[in-house]
Amino acid sequence: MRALVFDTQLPDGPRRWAIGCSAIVELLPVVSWRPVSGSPPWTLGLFERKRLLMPLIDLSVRLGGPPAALRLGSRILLVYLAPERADAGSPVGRLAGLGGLLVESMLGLETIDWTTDGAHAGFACALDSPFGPLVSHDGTTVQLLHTERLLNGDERALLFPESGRSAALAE
Amino acid sequence: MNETRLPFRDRLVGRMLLLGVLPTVLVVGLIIGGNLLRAYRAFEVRAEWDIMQATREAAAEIDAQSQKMAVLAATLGRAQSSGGMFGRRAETLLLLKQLTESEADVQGAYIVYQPNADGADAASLLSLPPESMDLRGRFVPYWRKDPSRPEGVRLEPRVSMDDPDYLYYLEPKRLAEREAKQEVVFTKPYFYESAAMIEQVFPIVVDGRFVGVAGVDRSLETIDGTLAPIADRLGGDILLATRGLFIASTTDIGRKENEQLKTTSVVDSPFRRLMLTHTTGPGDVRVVRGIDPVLGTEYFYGVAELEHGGWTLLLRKPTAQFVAELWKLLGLNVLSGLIGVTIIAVILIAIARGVGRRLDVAVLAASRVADGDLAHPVPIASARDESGVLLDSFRKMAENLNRIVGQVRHASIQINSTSTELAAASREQEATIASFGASTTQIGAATREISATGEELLRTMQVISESALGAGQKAQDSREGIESMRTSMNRLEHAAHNVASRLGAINEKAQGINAIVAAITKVADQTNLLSVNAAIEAEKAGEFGLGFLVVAREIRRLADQTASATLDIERMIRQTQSAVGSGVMEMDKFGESLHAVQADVDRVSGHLQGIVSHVEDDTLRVVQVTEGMRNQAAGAKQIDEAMRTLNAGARQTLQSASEFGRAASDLQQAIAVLKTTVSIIKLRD
Repeated sequence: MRALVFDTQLPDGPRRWAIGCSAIVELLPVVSWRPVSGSPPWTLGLFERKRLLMPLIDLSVRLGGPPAALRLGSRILLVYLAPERADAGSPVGRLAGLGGLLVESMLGLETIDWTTDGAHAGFACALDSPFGPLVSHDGTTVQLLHTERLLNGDERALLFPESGRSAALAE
Repeated sequence: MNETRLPFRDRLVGRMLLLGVLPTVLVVGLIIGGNLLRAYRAFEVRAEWDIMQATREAAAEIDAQSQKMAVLAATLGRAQSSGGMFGRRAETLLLLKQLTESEADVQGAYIVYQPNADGADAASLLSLPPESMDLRGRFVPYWRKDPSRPEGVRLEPRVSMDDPDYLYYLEPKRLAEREAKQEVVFTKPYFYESAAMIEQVFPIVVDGRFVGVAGVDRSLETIDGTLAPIADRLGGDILLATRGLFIASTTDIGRKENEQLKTTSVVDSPFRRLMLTHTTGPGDVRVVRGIDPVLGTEYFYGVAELEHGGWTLLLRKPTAQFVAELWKLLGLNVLSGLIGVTIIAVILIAIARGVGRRLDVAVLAASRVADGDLAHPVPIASARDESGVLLDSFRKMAENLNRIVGQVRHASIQINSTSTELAAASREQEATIASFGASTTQIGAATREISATGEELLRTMQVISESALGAGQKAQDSREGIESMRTSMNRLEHAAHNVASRLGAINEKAQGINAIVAAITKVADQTNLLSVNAAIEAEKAGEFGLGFLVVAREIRRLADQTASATLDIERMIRQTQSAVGSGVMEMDKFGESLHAVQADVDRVSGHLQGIVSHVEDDTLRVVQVTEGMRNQAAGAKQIDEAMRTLNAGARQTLQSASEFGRAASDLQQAIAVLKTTVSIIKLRD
């Protein structure tokens, strides 16, 4: 399958990850965002996309590393963090549940076979785990990341309240 | 007063008389003698002059009388010869009578004609008085003075006309007839009727024929009478002689045998030699000095020959007359000399006696002092001369001696105790000097070391001196090098400034390039993004998107190549910029460093200047120090020698100290003697 490969700098060294092209809605340059007070440390804040405010997550922090350093190859991946919110019927509904992942250094598109002989299913192979199988590719180990499972229910609720307008009205 | 009596010639009075008065007497005697000698010579000259003048005067007076008589005789004769009187007997008689009466000097006047010369002899016998003629009537009248007659004169006939002894007639006749001379003839003195007289006769010549004579006569008594006042006035005796016979004289010798002398021949008289020897001619006067042949005494004689009648005059004065004046002068001089000498002697004696008295007092006081008796005071002097000052000084001396001996007596006691202390001190000194000798030996050794060190130091200082001179030269050279270095630094700073400005320009250009590269990078990034997104979309499109996927991949590859190229450019630009920036910074730093270095150079230059001057000063000081070291070395040597000398001196001093100790004990003994001696002298309380 075709996947977008990128590196994160973890304390014990660089670690390579891959996200399937099907999960990626759009690849965005790094845009400016607004930090939000009281948010978890792996969130960077909110950024605007097509007149909608979307949460931006520092993937490096989320994966247990230090905050991402911005580089020339840094990108924001627009993915569905809460796919259940998406409504394919309307153009606005299609944008619901989207969020940005800031990757420090995007390497490019690769074709990776996750089912070869050397592949490993991974230690947390539960159905709701974001971490997929690992495979040795091009001299290094790449692990598949399931972005739709990156947030658990509480986190989804925190980042994606019911409705921006209705929440404000409820208060 | 036990005054010692000195013999008179040793006493002050005797000496002053001997040395003061005797020379005075000698000097006065010499002066008087010299004056007398000079006065004698002056008197002699004056006497000769007096005699000569008196002789001339007497000769002139007698000559005047003779001339008068000669004129009278000549007048009578010429009256007969050419005056027309010849033959006029009566008038002639009257003339002769009047002449005899009126002329005092004339004894008588007469005329004698030749027998019957005028042819009137016979006629005259009857008409004329018979006293005027002889028996034959020859005219021979002779008027002469006769005091026994009332009229004072008498007439008588002349006689003895042809007597050759009388010559009054024959001589003029002879002259007139044989030699044709008509002149007055002065006859020898002769006795005419017992009266001694002389004649002045003039011949009567008529028509070239001798017819008679006219004459006047003078008695020798009259001449005597005229001589006497002259002789009295001139103060001498006068003798007059003619034709070998004396005429007149005022001397006593002549007087005694007057008549005889008047007819005495000069040749037979004692004055013959005087009267004949010294006459040379009329008008000449000779003065001679000689012994009078009769009296035997000394006379001045003046001899003159008269103009008329061939008379010789002799005037004499005794030399005793002048000698008497000389004696009188001598007496006056001697008298005044004696008075002066006496006054001097009296004054000298008075002074000597006064001085002698004060000296006696001083001598007495001196003998007392000599005997050691200072108890009697010396009297105060009354006079203020040297003897008084002497006496005063003596009194002061005695008082001072009195005080000094008292002080000596007191001091001898003190000296005695002092000498005892001196003896003790000299012993201490001996010990001290012994230790001093050891010390000087040590000091000598130390000084020799100092001397050696000093010489070593001196050599070092000489080396230092040369080094200092070299250092000074090098510092000077360095300063000159630094000056050129500062010039180079200035140029360098200017160049650095230029480089910095160029680098700034490069930086600006690089920034421009950077902007372009950024733009390219952005385009490449966008392209990359687009290609990825395109690839993702193509993936999603599945089979339909395969061709598009290839395009997207190529685009992405180009974008990636562009991105990597721009990255390279960016990196290079960044490196260039950082290099330029750091270059500018370095240039700035370099400039600052240059400034700092320039300041340092200035400072170093100043320091070098200071060093040069210091080195020069130091060189001078080093020279001075070297000189000082040399002196010090020499001084140390001298000290060493001095210490040796001092050591020797200490040894000598040690001997001297022991001698001094002995001398102190000698001094003690001497002081004992002094005390005994001083106690002998009696002092005033």
